Parts: sequence; structure tokens; C-alpha cells
Amino acid sequence: MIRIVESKIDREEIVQSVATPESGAIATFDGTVRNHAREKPVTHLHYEAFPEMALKELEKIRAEAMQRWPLNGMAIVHRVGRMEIGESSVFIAVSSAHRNDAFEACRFAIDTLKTTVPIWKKEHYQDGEVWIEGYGQ
Amino acid sequence: MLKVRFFASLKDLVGESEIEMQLEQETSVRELFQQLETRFPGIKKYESIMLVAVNMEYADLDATVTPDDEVCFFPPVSGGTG
Repeated sequence: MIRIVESKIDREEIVQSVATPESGAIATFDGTVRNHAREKPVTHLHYEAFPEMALKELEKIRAEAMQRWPLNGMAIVHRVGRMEIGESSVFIAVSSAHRNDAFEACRFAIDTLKTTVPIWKKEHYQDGEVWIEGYGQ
Repeated sequence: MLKVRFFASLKDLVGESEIEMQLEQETSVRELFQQLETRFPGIKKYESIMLVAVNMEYADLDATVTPDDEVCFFPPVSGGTG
């Protein structure tokens, strides 16, 4: 499951999508909206994507991970639009026979996503808003 | 027609998400960006940090642009959280 969604992320559905009888581990990463950044209170976030290309880049991450580690499944779902404090903006689930591969591949997926997938975050504060720009490739 | 798209802060700066341009012949991403700079001077500061995609594949400033391509300019990505 590789998706860009506008509504709330359904964590259970994503975990179920990678569950297989051969798996002894499912590692997940849940990226949630934090109430502060750069020593300022954050009221909410807004995410914008270039959806067609973001899906392609997410597929590439999954393909590379499936090649590098013996995985049974990987799912990545990123939400776009407005999100409130505590809500999930991204959720990743990875299944494998043993936990080490699932943990490593899950970490690889979120770290790579942050540098290659065309999605941008705008932080909103009481007194304004700022686009957060990453560090590129 | 060449389609040029801007995202996130670059879109705000340019004031448009998409423009169309008539290219007489092949050019490079660098030359295209220089043309855009004369029209939108504020974008110059992005030259060294922005990401470029030609037809939805990442490309560098030396990549070739042909008259029917789609070229996207965007700031470094910042998806995810945590």
C-alpha cells in the first residue's frame, strides 16, 4: 500500500496490509504533528504534495527496501492538507520474518522519504506561517 | 508547449503554480531557470538549493529540456515528521 491521502490515516488498515503468516515482526513508524518547533508553539500544520511524483518516489523507496532486506511487505501512507497537533502525517509499516530487518527497513524508508519525496510542510503559529524546507538530496 | 510548475514556497514567490512557455529549441534546465529569473527575480536565491524534476524524474541543471517537457521546480522537500 503506497498512498497519499487527504483524510485521517487509518493505522490498523496499514498494519494489516503488510501482515503475512511468514512474518514474525511488523515495525511501524508513526510521524505525528508536534506542538512546537524552533522554540515556538505550533498551532497546526499544512502539507502540500506533488502527488503523482510523490507516489513514484514512494514506490522507489519500497522497491529499494524490498531488494535490500528480506521483507514480506512495506506500506507507506502520507497525509496532505491541514493536520492538528497529535495527528499522524505519515505512517510506515514493514513486515519481515525477524525484527532486525523490519526495524532497519522502516528507518531507511522514513529517512529517505524526507529527502526524496516531493511533499512540503508549512508550520502555522499564532502569529504567522512558514514553509519548512529540508536539506535536499 | 513547455509546462513549468512551481511548488510550496517557490509557488508562493512566483504567484502561480503553473506556466506555459513556447520553446523554439532544446535548452538546458539552467538556461530555462535563467529565463525565468528575468521574469521572477525573487527565485534566484533558490538556484543552489532547489530540486528540479523533468517529466517527474529528478534532474540537474545541465539536463536537457525539450519543447513539450514538464519541468518542476521545488524547494528541498520536508515531508514526514519526527
